[in-house]
Amino acid sequence: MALVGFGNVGKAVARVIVEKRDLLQKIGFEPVVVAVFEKNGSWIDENGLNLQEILQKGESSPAWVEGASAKEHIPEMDCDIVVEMTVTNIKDGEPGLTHIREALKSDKDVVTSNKGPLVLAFPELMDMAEKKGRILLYEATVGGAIPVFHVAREALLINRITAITGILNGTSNYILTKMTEEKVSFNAALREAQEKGYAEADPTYDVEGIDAASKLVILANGILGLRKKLSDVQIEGITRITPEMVELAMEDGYLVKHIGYVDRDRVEVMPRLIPRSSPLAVGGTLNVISLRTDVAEEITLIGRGAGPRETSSAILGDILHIHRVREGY
Amino acid sequence: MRMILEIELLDEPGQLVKALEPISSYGGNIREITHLRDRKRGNSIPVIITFDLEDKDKLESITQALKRQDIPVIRAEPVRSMFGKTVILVGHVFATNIKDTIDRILETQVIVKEVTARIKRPEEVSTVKFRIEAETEEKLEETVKTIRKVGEEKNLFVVWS
Repeated sequence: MALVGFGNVGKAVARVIVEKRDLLQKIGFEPVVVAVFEKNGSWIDENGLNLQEILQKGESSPAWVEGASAKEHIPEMDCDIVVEMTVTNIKDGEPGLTHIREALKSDKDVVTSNKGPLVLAFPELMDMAEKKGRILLYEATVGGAIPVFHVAREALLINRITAITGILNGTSNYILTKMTEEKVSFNAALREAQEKGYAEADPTYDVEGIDAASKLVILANGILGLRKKLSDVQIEGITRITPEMVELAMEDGYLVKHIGYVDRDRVEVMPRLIPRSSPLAVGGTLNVISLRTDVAEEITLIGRGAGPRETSSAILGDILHIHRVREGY
Repeated sequence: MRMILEIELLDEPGQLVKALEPISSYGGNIREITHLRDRKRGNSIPVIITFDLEDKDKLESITQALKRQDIPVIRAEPVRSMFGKTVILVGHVFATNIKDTIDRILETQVIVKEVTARIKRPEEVSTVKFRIEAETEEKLEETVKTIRKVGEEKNLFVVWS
């Protein structure tokens, strides 16, 4: 295995692999990490790196190679799975897009938490994986820890999934929850989210719905088999929501929520009024994804939409899935 | 078809049986009887009877029969199940001709059950809630489409249930 990107998510994956070594061994999986790439260089050892040492010593670990980049090493590297966890860039998808292309081209399975490449090039990457007979999994790109693609692909295989509804951005959900509970303005709730570290200094992607729309595109393509692009999504952000709107909605038993919806005719992210008793009415930074199916009817999954450790659960789920497929389970 | 009948009965023994007779003789099957005792006026109590009637044209015959027995009929009509929706507009809702907005909602053949407004200062945006009802969900969806179009024209932010 090679880990590409060693920020908060990459480190969390490494930590959980170390922490769960006994469990992994018990289920017959002993991962050997031959390379860990970060911006300025990488740790490389074809006999397997000591992840704990890298986590502790960082660049002073003996395996550190200054300047070695993922882009140049991925093609010739001897490994089965490339785990792409660099920072999302939805403008051109780089550097993740190149990493994934290079990995598939050189016959490696890929697991990614990076939305950018999938939003921009979903059909291309899927076709490439199929032609190469490789697996490309991306559970961590949507809903953090929520295993929605696994559930859709495995447990709901007998179902036709016709629509997906959800709250796909924890930051905007936190802001709306604050506006509801504390009757404060959008700006006051945003400031609090920034102070608590839930919102970036520039919150545009979260509050204008671009992040949620990106995730909706991945759900539409990955689960409904559509060919949607970000520009297909009708997007309305949450910045115009007033405390008065929240209050008037409450009087009728509704909460104002930022909802993503996709079916074969429509794909949109916008504020909607959701009955307080609905399973979609989750608070705080939680995410929720509801699948409409023809046999099981509605299936709703709720969970942590962000956080490095939570996200690593989804990434390791994908890695273990590939392990099982390759081992012929 | 479910029917609703509101009549006024004297608060005396035997009155209800007298009123129910025409309903059963025209094939009605009683579902529920409610005496509105808190609305009693003099010796007269409003009574609401719901019943199923296969042939809806018989409702008129039942009404006539009750009137012949001097039983006042307040209303007699099919029960319509109503679907509801809340729509909230934010923006300069009043300055952009709220009467026109309401007229265009009403043109879509829905019932506006409630209009609630929160106004701060004239120069600031106001928030206005409409509670609308219609016999079908499709009709409500159509109305939402109309309101969204009005919202686009008048730069109003529209959120709905």
